[in-house]
Amino acid sequence: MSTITAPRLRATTSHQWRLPSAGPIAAIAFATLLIVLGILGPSMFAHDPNQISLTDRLSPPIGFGGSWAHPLGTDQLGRDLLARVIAGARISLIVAISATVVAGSIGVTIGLVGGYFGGRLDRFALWLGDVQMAIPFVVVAIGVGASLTPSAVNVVVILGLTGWATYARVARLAAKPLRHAGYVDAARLAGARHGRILFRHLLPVIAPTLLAIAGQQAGAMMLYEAALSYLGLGVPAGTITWGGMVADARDTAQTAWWATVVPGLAIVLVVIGFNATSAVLSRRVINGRSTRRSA
Amino acid sequence: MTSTHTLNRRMLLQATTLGLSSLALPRLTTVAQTPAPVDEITIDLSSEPASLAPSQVYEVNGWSVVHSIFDAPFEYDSNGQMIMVAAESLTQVDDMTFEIKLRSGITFHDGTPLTAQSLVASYQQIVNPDTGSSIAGNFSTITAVDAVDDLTARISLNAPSPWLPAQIAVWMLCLPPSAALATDTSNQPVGTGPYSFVEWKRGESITLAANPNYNNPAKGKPIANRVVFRFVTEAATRDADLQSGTAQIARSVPPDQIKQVEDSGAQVMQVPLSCVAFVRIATDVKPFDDVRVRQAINYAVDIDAIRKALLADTGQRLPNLFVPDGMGFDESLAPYSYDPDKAKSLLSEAGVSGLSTTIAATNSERKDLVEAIAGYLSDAGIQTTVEVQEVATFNGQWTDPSAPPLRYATWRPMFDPFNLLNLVFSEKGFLSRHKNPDIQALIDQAAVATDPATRAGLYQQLGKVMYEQPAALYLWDVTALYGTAAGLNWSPRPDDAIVPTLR
Repeated sequence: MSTITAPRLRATTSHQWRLPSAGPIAAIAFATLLIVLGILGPSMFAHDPNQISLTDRLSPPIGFGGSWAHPLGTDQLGRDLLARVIAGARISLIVAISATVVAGSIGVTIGLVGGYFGGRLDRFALWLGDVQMAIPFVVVAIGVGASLTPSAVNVVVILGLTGWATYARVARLAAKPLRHAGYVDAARLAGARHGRILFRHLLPVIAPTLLAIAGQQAGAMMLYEAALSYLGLGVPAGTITWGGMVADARDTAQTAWWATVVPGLAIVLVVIGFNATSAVLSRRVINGRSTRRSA
Repeated sequence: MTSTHTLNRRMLLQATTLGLSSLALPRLTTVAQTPAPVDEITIDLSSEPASLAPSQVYEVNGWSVVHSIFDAPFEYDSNGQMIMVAAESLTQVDDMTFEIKLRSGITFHDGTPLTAQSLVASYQQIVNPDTGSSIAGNFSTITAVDAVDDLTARISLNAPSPWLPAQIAVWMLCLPPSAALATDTSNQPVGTGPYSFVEWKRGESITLAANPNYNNPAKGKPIANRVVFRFVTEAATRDADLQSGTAQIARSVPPDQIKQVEDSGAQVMQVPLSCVAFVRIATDVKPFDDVRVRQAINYAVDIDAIRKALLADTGQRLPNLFVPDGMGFDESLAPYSYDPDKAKSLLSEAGVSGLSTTIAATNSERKDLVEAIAGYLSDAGIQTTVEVQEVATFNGQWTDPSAPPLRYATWRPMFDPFNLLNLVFSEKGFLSRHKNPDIQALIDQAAVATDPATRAGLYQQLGKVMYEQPAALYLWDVTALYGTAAGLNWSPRPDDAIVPTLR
């Protein structure tokens, strides 16, 4: 009896795995830096991100007339923007990553089940995905925001419930052709139950693709979190978030641009960082696939 | 194009006539003193009125429209002096009776003449339980309102109520007699005021048309043939409207945008209001039941720094709830000083350490002010987080024991201090979590003192007690910042309602 193995996606050799260009590297490095800072947290810095100092309000960043006391300047209440951006990184990352995990888990499960079983279940899964995609997340967010007190958990739930369809579609498409692949049939003959086949035999095959999507989606989640906080539908008022910082500094946007630009730039750079990571990952997956086909 | 042109020219003429020298234009004092109204102006309010029935309106955006459509019998000017509007006189016949005599010759927008029945109807609408008016309690000492003759209404009381005229000025406006039993007259309000109702596009705007015959010495004349009140919650959007010429009057310009607005050619009017800002402290929960903790809170916050940095240095720090130019204000009483060390020692004296608490404010108030207050409290050892609430949530929690113990509020109008004291700081008030026999006795005595001098003395005494045993963190008297298109002139009011007329 011949051994049947799952198709190998990783066939990386040095000529296929080219280093990404400088742009993505910078973006990824910046995102990594913020993640590290976000995890290590404000403890590294002398400034308390909530320390109000009305005499120092709206001091400009270094290079625009500011001093090293507040390298990125201060906001409308004299709070240190560097300390706040770092403190904001934490909640932004927690929300973005948890929302990605929630959305990914829901989406992958629905997609795999639909693709694998086919038939009515598949049609239902597809329909569910269409429904989700037809409802804009802001509408859900307003609904939830109106009925519940603001919390980070709400934001994760909102983003998770409105962001799973992409994963479901990809997982379904990937699972469909594999449902009768030789190694899957073999596993079934060997007595494996559906759950085992789904998560032990199908999931690993599509995992790299999903990871690439997750990288890109995490950036989107961060952007959505910022949007919700900007609209006041996100986390509670006292929590420091980048979107909330931009919103609070609106009144001074034209007189003291840094109070909005600094957190805004943080959002932009991290989203680019996530996207660059995702692009590098997917290039790797595609390279892996083309290698497999030619082999 | 032509209409814009006319509008600008007229506005400039008005401005120069009235000597707005900041425009640095030549003065043309020979131009007619009463300029013709412009065709249309747009006013950016900061929220949509919940209702246009005078008995159902409790905030400034609603009052802006309501006082444009309706007239009160009398109002109060910025010095707290009563001025007659639809009434000719208010007479205190005896301690238990007021008589309001209306002017003759006033008609409603539909042409029917104004009679004393109008005030009867207005009172009935307020006290009708079906209307659910929140201010019915302010009129509870009234036993009857009767029409003595065509133009005279008699108000009979069951207790002396010297504070009643201040309530009438805000809520008992001249309604058509047909409104007596109506529970909601929001959809087609008919009044005697400077503007008549045209339409209300829900969520968007309210349009009014000038009442061409209107010329009341107290309120003046309409400044435009049509007025569109729009509901623009975002301050930055209101300012952008003003700068682009989309709006001619905008409420609440953030102090940080004054320069930008002025650079664009528009003006910012600073108008002291009859309005007090404070942080109500729930004195029925630990540790805030301890007067030392409340004193500590008053020492902990640098109110003057907040005023200077965030309020364009307007208003003044107050020692209690009584406002300058209002009854009960005591110039000799110095406000608390900013003394964080004293705050800390008072807290330790009270045995309080590691206290954390929450301060609530509505989303229509400025969050940065509340955050600054919370920041100072946190620095003094009372870790304070800010909770921003919807107005309805906030108003539903005045007496909720689980609500944040601190709540930032601005109270207007303060034409008479009775309303605030009675509702929020008296043990009988339906918004109150405060019980203090010394304060209660003085509130009750002042409520029935018909001699103004006696009453003012009682309020000054009360002010001292409230200073020594604070029931709130006392802040400042509020100054409004209105953005106004260059050359547009109108008469602002101490109650913060924007009624586009010119005296």
